[in-house]
Amino acid sequence: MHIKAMLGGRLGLRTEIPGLMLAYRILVLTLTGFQCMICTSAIGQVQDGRRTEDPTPRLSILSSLERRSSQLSPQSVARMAPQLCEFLSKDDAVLRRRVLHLLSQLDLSEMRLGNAAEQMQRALLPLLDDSDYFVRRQVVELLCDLADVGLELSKEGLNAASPLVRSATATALARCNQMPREKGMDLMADASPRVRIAATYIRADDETLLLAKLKLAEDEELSVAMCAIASLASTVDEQFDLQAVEYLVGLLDQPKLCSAAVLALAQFGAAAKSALPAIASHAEHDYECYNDELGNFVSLFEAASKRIGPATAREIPSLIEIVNSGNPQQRTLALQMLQSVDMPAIEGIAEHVLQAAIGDYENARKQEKLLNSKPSNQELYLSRLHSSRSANAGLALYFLWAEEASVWSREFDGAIGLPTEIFARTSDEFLIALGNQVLNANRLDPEQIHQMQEIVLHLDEVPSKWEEKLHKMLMSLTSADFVALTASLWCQTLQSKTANLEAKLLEMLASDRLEISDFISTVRRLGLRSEPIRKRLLQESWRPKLRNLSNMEQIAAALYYVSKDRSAAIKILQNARDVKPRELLRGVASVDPNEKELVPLALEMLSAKDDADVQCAIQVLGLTERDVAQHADLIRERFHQIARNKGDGELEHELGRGILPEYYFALARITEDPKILKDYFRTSPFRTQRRGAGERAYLPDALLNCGAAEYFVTEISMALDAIDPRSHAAIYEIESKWMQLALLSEDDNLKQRVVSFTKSSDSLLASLARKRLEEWKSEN
Amino acid sequence: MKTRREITFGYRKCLRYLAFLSLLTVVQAPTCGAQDLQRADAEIEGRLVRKRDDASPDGQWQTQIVYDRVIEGLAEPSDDLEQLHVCVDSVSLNRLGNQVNASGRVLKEMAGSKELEPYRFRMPITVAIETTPADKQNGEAAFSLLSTDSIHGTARTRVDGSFEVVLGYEWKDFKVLHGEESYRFAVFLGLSHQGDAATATKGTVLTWTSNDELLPSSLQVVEMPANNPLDEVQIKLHAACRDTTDTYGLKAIRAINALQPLGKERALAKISDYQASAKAGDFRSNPMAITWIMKLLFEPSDLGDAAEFSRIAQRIFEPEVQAHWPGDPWLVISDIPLRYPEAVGMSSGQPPKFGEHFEFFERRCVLRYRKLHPAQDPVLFLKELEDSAPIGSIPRGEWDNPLGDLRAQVFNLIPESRRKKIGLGEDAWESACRLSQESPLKWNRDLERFEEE
Repeated sequence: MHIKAMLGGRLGLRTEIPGLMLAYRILVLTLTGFQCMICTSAIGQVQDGRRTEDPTPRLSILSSLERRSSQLSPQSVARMAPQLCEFLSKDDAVLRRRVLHLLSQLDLSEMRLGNAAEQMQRALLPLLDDSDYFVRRQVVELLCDLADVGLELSKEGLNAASPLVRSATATALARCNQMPREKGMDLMADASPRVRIAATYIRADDETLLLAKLKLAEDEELSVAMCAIASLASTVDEQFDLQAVEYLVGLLDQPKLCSAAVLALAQFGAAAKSALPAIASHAEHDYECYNDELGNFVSLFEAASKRIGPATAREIPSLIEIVNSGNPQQRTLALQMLQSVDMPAIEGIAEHVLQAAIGDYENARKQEKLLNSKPSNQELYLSRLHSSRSANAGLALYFLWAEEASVWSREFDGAIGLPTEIFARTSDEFLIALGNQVLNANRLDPEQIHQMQEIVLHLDEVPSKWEEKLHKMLMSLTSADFVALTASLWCQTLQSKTANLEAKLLEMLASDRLEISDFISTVRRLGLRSEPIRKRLLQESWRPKLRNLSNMEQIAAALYYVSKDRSAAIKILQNARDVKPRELLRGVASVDPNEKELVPLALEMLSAKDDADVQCAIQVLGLTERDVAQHADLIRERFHQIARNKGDGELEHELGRGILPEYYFALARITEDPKILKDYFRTSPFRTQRRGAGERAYLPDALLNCGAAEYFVTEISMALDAIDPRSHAAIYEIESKWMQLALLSEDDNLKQRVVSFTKSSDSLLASLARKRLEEWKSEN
Repeated sequence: MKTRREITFGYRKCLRYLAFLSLLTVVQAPTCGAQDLQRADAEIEGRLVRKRDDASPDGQWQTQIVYDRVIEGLAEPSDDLEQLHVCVDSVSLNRLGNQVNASGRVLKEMAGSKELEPYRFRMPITVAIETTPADKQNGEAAFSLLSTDSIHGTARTRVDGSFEVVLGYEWKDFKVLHGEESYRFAVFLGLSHQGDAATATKGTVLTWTSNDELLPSSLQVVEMPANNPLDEVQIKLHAACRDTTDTYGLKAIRAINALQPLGKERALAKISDYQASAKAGDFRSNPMAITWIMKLLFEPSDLGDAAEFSRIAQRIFEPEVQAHWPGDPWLVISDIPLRYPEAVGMSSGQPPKFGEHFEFFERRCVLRYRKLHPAQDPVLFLKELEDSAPIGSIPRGEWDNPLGDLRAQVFNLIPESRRKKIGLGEDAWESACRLSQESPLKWNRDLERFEEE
């Protein structure tokens, strides 16, 4: 039939071809003929086998039938039914088993067997008393498959003396929903646990049955109770859901039933919402009882909270209470359970969680006497905390550095200060833990980098023994993001730290893994503000890089920065071979940005096709101190031309890291009149972009360098408006600069805005705002 | 040194000793201060080179232990045998009744005094225990260090004179094993002699032999405390669970039939107790075999779902095979349990530990309803089954012969008398089939075994 349908479907598309139709019909007839032959042969074999007493032929016939079972039609099965039933009645267990297996392969539920079905039912019923569970199970399944014609015959089995028959019959009837109503109650009170287990399948659609079912859930025989609890959700009418849930909550106090009750509650889904706090409250009990074959308490709670629906922390106050006042074991459990609750639900309790965890950590530390004597043990201890997460301190550190940490730390006040606090209280161990975490991390998110910055800023008294660790930690951060976001901060910290740490930081900046272009860019911008730092950086960090420099531009720049020996640098450039024009230009500019030949060369390069050349030209024009203000329009036009040729995405990503910062920087330097500069920026192609991210990212640097904040009140105001703690995932480096500009603008409204940020619910933002305000106050 | 080939004491002489030793019973051991035991003493130096049990030239049992250098401070008991005393601290019988653990101390009379102090030499000793209770001794019987009624074990005393020795024995008197009262047994202690160090090529030879010197004062009566032995049901369970290869066949059927009538609660209690003892190291048992026996004894409580039951100690992972062996690893037809061939089944990672799946059976299963009483000749049964899907579905690798394993299981059920008729050889199976067709084996429900008619 299957082949026929398939061919019909395919050829049906071409019914206009009579030849094919004819071929199709012939094929169908041939297949039907084959099938008839097979069935006739099978039936004949079965009938032959019935006549002989020797079982061997019968068994070989069954073997051939088993192989052809998929080809047997309902008609064939109906014709064979009497013979198969006779086999079932024989005193031959192997034969019975094989016939049962054959029947189970036939998918009787899809066949309309008519009288044959009733005949089969009659033959199957005695097998309900078979000693073997799997035979009874197969018979029950077959009876359910044949249930279309009703299971009237089976109902006699409910009164059988054998509990095997009663239980199997009850199972079949209950599963097919053909259980006589009046028998349900009797079965639930049957003396045999098997029968009571079967009765758990009975659907409870009235209160009497419901009460009887609930009683089974506390049956003295544990297996009955387990089955009753497990089947409750699927066999209780919806109107009784709440009643059943309430009952199951009551079972949570029973050690042997509580895990099954939790799983059953999960099956009720949203109807069991009220049960979640009750389940959570059991975290303070002896949760070992939950650790059975169904799972442990945490996994059960997780399963339940997933099925029931997300809970908020306020809906499960017991967990918070346990975190605050429970013993360490209970706290660990509660903390683990809190992880399975939706993240927004943690709002308001994260601080409690962390503080409790830190407290436990300190206790653990006090107990671990070795911590104070052997650094290697400290490290081992902390790494164990990290790897196992078995202790709350490990969990706390995990929270700090896990993916959720950036979200969490924004949700409660004082997050920014927390690492410092932890550091102050747990000193060097935390630093080790931090280093381990950083070294083991595949990547760091901006939040983590920022927290590291905070740590370093507070490293006033770094134990010398941990400098190596810190160094390793810092060296692990070589991504471009790191350079862009943190290099300047490292530089700012140099002066106040120990000599060794400073050396390590400088060594880090001199690392080969740090891109030179990023370094130059950072140093250049930084140098404009703090010459001493720039010099020290160059002298200490740049020199080691010289050996590995690969192009003229870098060599020239290096020579210039390190030695200020222009003649030597230019000589190198002149003698270099295969130097690209822009490298030469940039090299010369690096050595002497005021070289008179530079400006015409740069203006010529401004019209080059290659964006990199244009970028170089803009950069050179931005660096020179010669008067190039009249060329600002040209720069602007060329930039706009490039911007127009780019799509939205390219504009953000390609230009963003190369030409755009240089453009803003150059315009800010070249344009002497802030009003004109404002006009330039107002007509920037980025103003028309959907997000204006480029302007928001790179304009602050330019404005800070040209000292024209007061002319950009509107832009600053817009940028402050755009700060969105909920949607913004960065670490507020850019926003911090806009706040700095707001304070520099001398505009009271903008200042007030910055003050308002200090009260933000976003603790990170508030902390940054406070920091900027303090800096501004100290400068004024 | 006094040497006797065989030491035999008359019963009256023994009684004298017993009377004397009644003062030195186990409970009222000679005083020996703790400070004495802590006194520094010569430690044995030397490494065990080999230990060998074999027969001595005169055909008697002996053990040779060779050390790689001369042992300093090793006793060579000669003149002071009379001064030595033995204090047996404890004697206990394990739960299977096949192992006696005895510990005690060898003490010496202090010079010029009757007080006792530890005999500070590392001394090879033999401990023998008469297995017939002292109050049931036949008047004419004689104590012998190596008699058929005694069990013996060898040990070496520690520097403080203490010793511990394990004596293996399959206790015959089941009443003793299960008696609530404690019994008294005579205990001997023999001193083994040290081989001539000068003549030993590779070191000092210590030899224990059956004709060791008997320490006259060591003969005493000790009390074998009433223990908490395995009961008959647990012994049957143990027989089926000692080893996985013993799990099939008659032993499994007998274990099931012993446990089933107890009801679920008591059966679980018996198994739990047995597992606890096995876990504690009282005897050796196989947790996998226990799990399999439990899978045969229990069935899933729910007639609708047996998936989790099948996954307990799972060995069959191919769905098409598992469909035919749902009771993994068992297939029970006509109450004859066949176990999935050992060589074919896969291991499911870590084998179960003692009691690992206990809760599952307790909470999710019911006891099988009937005992196992095979209703068919096992040979004919397997012959009939050979062409069927359960056996046909078993994957056959190059070296696997699942049929051979299954036939071995069936042979395990055949009585000895029939097996002798079948004989050995390549045609053994054909012979078995022929004999079974001529005269099928019948199951004896009382003796729980197949018998010939």
